[in-house]
Amino acid sequence: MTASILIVDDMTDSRLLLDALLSDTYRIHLAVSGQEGLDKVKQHTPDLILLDLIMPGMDGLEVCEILKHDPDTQDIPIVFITGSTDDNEKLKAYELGADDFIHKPVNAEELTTKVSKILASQTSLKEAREMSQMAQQTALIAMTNSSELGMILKFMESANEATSFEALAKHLEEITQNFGVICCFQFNYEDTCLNFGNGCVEDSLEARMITEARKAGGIIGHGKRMFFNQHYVSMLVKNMPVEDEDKCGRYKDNLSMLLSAANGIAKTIGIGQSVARQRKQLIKDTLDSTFDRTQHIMSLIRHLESSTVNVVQDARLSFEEALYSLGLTEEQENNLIGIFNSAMDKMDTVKETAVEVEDTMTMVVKVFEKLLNEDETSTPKD
Amino acid sequence: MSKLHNPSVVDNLKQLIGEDKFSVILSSSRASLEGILSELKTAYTSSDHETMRRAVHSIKSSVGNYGADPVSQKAEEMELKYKAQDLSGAASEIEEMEDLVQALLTELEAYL
Repeated sequence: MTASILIVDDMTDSRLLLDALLSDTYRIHLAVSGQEGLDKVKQHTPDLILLDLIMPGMDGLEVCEILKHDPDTQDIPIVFITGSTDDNEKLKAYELGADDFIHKPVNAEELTTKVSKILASQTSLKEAREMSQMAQQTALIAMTNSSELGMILKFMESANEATSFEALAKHLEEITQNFGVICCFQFNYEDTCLNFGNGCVEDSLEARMITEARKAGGIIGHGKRMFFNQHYVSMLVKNMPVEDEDKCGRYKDNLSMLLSAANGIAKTIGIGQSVARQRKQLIKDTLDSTFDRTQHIMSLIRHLESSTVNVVQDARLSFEEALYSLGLTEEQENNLIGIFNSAMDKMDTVKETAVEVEDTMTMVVKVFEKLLNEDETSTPKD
Repeated sequence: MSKLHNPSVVDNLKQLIGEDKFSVILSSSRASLEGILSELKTAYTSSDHETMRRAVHSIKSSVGNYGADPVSQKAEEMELKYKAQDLSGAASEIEEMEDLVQALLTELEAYL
């Protein structure tokens, strides 16, 4: 785009001469006084001002001071055109922010060279400022992104301790709230399908939509709604910031990363729960088997106990019959009865031991029954 | 008699901006200089040395474009005096300046 120059000079011939020398290369605006010069600056915002130093009314120094104190115009370079040889005036002009001087009578080559150089450096300055602004913007985006990545790292740290899908869902809800997005989550592990967050329950519209989107896999967007799918977990974001293209792109990347991290944790939870179920089943089978064996032992003990009583009773009857048929003295009978009773007492002790064994076994069976019942009620549902 | 203007400066200017623009600028210089001389004389009657200083400064700038060094030098001398608020001999200086400017403009007419 052609650069524009404002020439401010009260002398018509000087104005026209500068115009004639520069108008083939630049767009020229003319002003005959300091005040008109200020008005034209507001109107056209020129890239450079050629300003006569000595003018009636508002002189060049005054115009320069006003422009250099205005944030909207302070960066416009000002070159004084002067026939003055007064160094104090020049010094004052520099102090006020003048960029250069061109002496009257104007040397055409000096004029075009200075104008060209000042405009080139002005362009470089503008580009540098734009680059600086762009760098600041980039830094801001990087800091925001870094903050979002920080949140994801924190999530990974805390959610890694989750031992159930419900706990993992709570962590996901917390971080997505911090992102400012409304989300639903669905976990799929083996035959288990669980839904969490913002009205997403089994058979809800959200749950059905996620199930459908999960079949397609990857990331699917429908306006503000966006589905993110991983193997063990899917997420529906209901309010992606589509109005801000940069933010939306960043969220897409970061939420995808978040779900990837959640997927790994969900897998660990799934495997853990599967192993726990298998272990409990093994314990249950072992308990069942031990319970059956214990019952069998108890029935054997009872049978043994019953048999022992019968044997003892039979032995007592046979002993008494034999004792009376032997014709022994009373003393001899008493001695034999003493020996027999002593043996019977020992048998009673054996019987009592058997009863103790039975009681103990009964207690063991009760403990097994309790363990089996507890195992039934504590089997995880998720 | 030597010329008040520098022919090479004028030729160079004419070549640089073209004859048409040169004519316009020269006509403009004539009108400006006549106006300034009138302003100078009026300012002198009221001893307005600042306006007088500015007027001769403008004359110096205007004639400088044509390489009219003798006129420029005279204008500069007058400018320094008026700046120092010294108006002694101003009447004759102004007359002399008027003659110089008229003579210069007559010389420059030849370029049209």
